[in-house]
Amino acid sequence: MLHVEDLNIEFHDHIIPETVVYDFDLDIESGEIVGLVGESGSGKSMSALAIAGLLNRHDARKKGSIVFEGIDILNCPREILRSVQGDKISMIFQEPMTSLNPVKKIGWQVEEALRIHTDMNKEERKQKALEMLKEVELDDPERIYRSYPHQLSGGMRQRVMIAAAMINSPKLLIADEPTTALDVTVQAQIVSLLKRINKEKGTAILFISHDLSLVRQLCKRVIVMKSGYIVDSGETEEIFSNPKHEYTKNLISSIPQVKLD
Amino acid sequence: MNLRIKKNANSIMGIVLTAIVVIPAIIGIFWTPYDPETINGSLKLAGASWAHPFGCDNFGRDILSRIMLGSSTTFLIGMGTVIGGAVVGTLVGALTGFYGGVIDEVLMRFNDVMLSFPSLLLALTFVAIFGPGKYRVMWALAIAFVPSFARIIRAEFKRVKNMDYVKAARLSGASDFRIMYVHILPNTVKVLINAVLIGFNNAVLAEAGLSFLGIGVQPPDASLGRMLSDSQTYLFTKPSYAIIPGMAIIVMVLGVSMIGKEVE
Repeated sequence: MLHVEDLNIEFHDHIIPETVVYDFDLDIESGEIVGLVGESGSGKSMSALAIAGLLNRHDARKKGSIVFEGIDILNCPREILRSVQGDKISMIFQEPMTSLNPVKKIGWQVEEALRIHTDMNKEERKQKALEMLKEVELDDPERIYRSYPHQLSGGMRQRVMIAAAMINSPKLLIADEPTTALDVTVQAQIVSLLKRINKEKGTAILFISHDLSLVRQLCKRVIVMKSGYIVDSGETEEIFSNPKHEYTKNLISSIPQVKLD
Repeated sequence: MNLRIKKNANSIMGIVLTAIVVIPAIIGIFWTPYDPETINGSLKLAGASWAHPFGCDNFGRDILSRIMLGSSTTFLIGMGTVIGGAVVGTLVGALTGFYGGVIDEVLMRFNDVMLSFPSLLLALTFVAIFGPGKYRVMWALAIAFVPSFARIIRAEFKRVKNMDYVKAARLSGASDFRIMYVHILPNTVKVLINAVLIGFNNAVLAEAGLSFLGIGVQPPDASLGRMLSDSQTYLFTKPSYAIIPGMAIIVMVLGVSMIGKEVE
C-alpha cells in the first residue's frame, strides 16, 4: 500500500544544506502496524511528515520516492495530494495541547475532514462526529461536541485528535509520538485504542515513538533510526531478542527494568 | 475564544463615554434639532439658550445640530478608515505571513517604505493627490492605515501557521484559502480587535487634524475637526464654540481606548 524507497530529505534554508534523512526505505501493507523508533533528531518525524505530504516544498529537497496507492506523494500536484490527505492518510501529533485549534469547538474540528471530502449535510456530519467521539471511548460525546479544547484534559484531546483523524476511515494513520505527552495510564489507554481501531477498521498505523516497551506491545514490525539512517529493521520480536546493530542493542538494554529486591 | 468584556469600572466608563458621543452622532445622521446648514444672521455667535443649548456659531447655525452631524461624520470617517485599512491590511498580512518567500519580500519592503512615513503625512500626500472632501479623506486615511494593519496581521499569521492545529488542518486536506481564513484568521481576532480600536482613535485624530488644516472635510459639511478649525478665530469671543467639539473628540477617543483596554 505504501512504498517508500531511497528517501533523502535535505534542508536548504541555511547556506550549508543539511541532510536529515538518508536512504529511507519502508513498506506498509494495509492493516499493518509498523513501529518507527529512534532518539530525538534521528529523522523519524521528518520521514513521517514527508509521507504525510506535509513537508514544506520551498525549503526541503527530497530525493527518492513515496508511493501511496499509486500516488506519488512527493511530486504529485497539490490538488491530488489534498484529496488524499484527511481521506486516506491521517496523522496525529505529539502534543495534544497545541494540535487542536483553540478558537473552534471540538465538533467543528472533528467534522473538518468530512466537510472537505464528503458532501454530507450538517446533520449527517454531526451524527458521524458523535459516533466517532463515542468510538474513541469519550464519555458524554454530546457535551464534548460542544466544548472548546481548553475545557478538555490532555488524554481527552488526544482521543479527539484520533476521532478527527479517523473520521473518514483512512487507510493509513501516522501517529507521531501520540503518547509522549501523556501520563502512563492514559498512554496505555491510547495504545489499546489504536490497537482496537487497527483491528476493527483495518487501518494501517505507522507508530512513531521512542518508547520501546510501547512499540513492543503494539507493533509487529519495527524500524530503528539513528541520525538519519535506518540501522535496523525487521519483526519486532526478532529485533528485541536478536538485535543486529550495536545501537539497537544499547537501546534495548537501556529499557528501565524494575527490580523489587 | 470568548470576547468577554469585564464588567468593571473601566469598561463601563469607556462604554458610557463612547455612548455620550456616538448615540447623538447616530441620531444626527437622521435627525438634528435644526438644519445644521441654515444660516441665520440674527443668531450670530448667540450664547446658550433653551432653544440653542450650545449656542450658535459665526453664521448663526445651531452648534448642537452641527456637533451631532459633525460627530457622525467624524465617526463614519473613523469607522470607514479602520474597516478599509483592516480589510486590506488583513489580506496583505495574511498572504505575506502565510506564504513568505518572494510575495512576502516584495509586499513587505513596499510596506516598510509606507511605514517609514508618519501616517498623517502619508494621508496628507494622498489628500493632495485625491483632493479634499469627506469620502476622499476616508480613502486617504484608509490607504495610510493599511501598512500598520498588514504588519500586525502578518506577525500573527507567521506565529499561528506553525502551530500543530494548522498542520492538522492541512492534513485534513484543507485548501490554502480555507487554512488562512477559516483556521488561522479566527486566532488573530484578539489582536485584530485591539488594532482596530487603536486605529479608530488614530483615524479620528487624523481626521480632526486634516480638517483643522483645512484639507479634510470641506464646508458646509460639518465634522469635529472642521468645527475646531472654524472656531479658532472666535477663540476669545466665544470659547465654547471650540471647547465643545474639542470635548467631543476627547470623549470619543478616551471612551474607545478605555474599551480597547478591557477587551481581552
